[in-house]
Amino acid sequence: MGNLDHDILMLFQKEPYAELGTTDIIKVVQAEEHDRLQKIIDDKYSGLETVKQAKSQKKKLNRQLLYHLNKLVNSGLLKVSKTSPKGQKYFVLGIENGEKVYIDKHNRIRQQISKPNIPRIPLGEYETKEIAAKYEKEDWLGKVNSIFLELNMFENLRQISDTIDFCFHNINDCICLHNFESLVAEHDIEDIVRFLAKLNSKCIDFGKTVSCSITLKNIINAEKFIEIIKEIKDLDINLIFNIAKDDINTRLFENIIEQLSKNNQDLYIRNNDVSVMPYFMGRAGPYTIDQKDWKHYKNEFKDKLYGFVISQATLLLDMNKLFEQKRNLENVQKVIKKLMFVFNESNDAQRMHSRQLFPELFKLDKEKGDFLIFSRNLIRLWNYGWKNPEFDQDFLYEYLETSFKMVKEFSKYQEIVYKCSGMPTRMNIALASAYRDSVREVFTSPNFLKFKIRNISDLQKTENKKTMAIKEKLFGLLDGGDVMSFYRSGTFDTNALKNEILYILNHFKLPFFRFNFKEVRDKNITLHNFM
Amino acid sequence: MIESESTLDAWKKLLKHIYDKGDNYVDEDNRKCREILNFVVTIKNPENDITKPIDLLNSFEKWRYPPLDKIANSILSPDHINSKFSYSYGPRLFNFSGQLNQLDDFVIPVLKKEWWSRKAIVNFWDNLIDSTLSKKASPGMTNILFKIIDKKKLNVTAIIRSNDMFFGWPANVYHLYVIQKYVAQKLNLAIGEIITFSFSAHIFEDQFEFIQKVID
Repeated sequence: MGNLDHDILMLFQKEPYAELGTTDIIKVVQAEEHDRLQKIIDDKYSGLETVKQAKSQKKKLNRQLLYHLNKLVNSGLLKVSKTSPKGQKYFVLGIENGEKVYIDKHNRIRQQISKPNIPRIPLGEYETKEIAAKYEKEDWLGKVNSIFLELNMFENLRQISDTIDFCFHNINDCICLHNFESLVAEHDIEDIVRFLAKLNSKCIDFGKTVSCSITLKNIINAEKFIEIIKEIKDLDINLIFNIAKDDINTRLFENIIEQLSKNNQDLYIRNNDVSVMPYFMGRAGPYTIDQKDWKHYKNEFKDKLYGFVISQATLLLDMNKLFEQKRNLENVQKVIKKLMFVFNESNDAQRMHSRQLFPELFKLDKEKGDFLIFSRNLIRLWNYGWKNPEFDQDFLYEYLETSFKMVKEFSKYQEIVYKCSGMPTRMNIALASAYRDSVREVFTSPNFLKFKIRNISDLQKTENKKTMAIKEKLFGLLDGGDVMSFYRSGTFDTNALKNEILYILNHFKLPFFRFNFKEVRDKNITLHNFM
Repeated sequence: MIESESTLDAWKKLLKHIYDKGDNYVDEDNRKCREILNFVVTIKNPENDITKPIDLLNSFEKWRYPPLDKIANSILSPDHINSKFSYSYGPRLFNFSGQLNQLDDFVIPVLKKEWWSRKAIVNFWDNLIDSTLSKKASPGMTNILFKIIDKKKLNVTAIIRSNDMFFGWPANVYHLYVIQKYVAQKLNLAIGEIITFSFSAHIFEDQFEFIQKVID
């Protein structure tokens, strides 16, 4: 076995569950040569011919690496897990969980590569009957779902970019970039737009999403911010605005509304008057952090972590399918109990093998931090009954409340028994709502109505107020993450939209909601006040 | 003081004793507790049913203890099982302060040399880590003392500073049994008694419903 083959395998031995693209691999196993060539390419003072040669040599390096990677694939030690839309191949270890293989370097050194034995943990009849499913089944435990990054902890864009890169290797859903407005304040428009464009490209390549969490009142240069929003209108990045009532009647907010609605981008709002915890969006659905944990983070860990895991594993539950069997509390309790015990095993496995599963994520621990300290396991509910006119809303609340109490009690007890067993560890399960995309191929079609509004009087209608009142209560039970979606239709101007948002902020305790503009007929949105 | 031939019987008796005679108080986490201080429990023949309390607890199906081999490993492994546990007994025992294997380099040699020795003590409390005002998880079990009786069997006595007698004690005695067996095998001795000295032996109000079921 040659040096390069050996180095490639040792890279995977360090991270046995990693999925690495050729670019990731080359940056490690041929770091020196790669960096040398990249420096020439990036240097704006390099001559055209020099750059051309460097690019040609880089391509040669890639081809050489691919030759060795293909050899390893043919031997069964690696396998191709996917190919990105741009044609880049991604590789994973080809050996099974628990398998050990000995490799010879130059027929002298015998080394072992192995994959820790992560238990399969079946969901039993719930899985076979397609009532329950693992989110991202193949990577269910080998990756975490979502990571929160505190941008104020980073020194520059490069560092953030590198961190996002290794996070993307270790997540199967999304990242939240918190305090994004501070990044905007410190960099030129060009740099931010370039950064976001690259990020968007990585999202497409890796199949992930990113949310930028922005506190409106902290935006220093409103014009600059609006310019950035205009530039990134074609990017698929979620912008989450943390606002209070006072922020509504500002030109900045009006301009934000105008831009997002014009571009058919969802307007996400976290209501500062109701919640202090960050909310963000993934493909699986909305995410947030437990209130106590957020306080704990701000008081004790803010300077010790570059970021942390929000959710480590997710199970999906099709309540509609479950209720086809029997619509009663006992049936719900049975399935929740099953999922809790499944999480008990998976939580143990992930934390026990965290060094092997997520070695790169240890870089998020700046100083005696712990990137898993606030992590939760989520049960995401689909077709759970809200906005379904045929579903008894009292029973909805009853079964959700029962489920909520079950998971909280179980989490508490598991932490106690593990602590008593000399293995103090975190165990936390939360309920959350599931997004259509995460369940499309597995579960039943949506059986709930879209909450459509054409104007403020729709928000004032009794039946709609009732629906939102139920949602307010549900937020407390779906504390792993939930969002209220308003599908804005008809025509409007920004003043009208502003008033609708203000009405929501004044009359409803919804911590997190979004406006979707895809059904708006007239796209000629006009600003009430000119800049 | 409670004495019993069997682990399960000792457990039931101690729970009943604290339930009937303990003093009520509210702890720092606002949980209602019932406590007895300086409580001694002796299990005369632990080997027969050392895992029975854990089995009984698991049968409630409201929680699940880690598998026995993992509980054993948490006290036998010198490495942190993983760095995401706040502390583990194993490293404290086999790699105290990164320097001392308290069992193999001290307890076993000292008992081999002088079977009557009263110096065979291990310490879990590391002052440099645990004696701090900031709140975090610290070992409940602070010491184990090993004593050879009649040159034939090995007794162990554990000092536990804060002991949840419903959830914690069953796991503590299992830990003790694992260590007792480890040392006894190396010294060719039979398993003797397990004694626990709990400085604060307590139960919690939210456990009463389950404690009643255990006692009954």
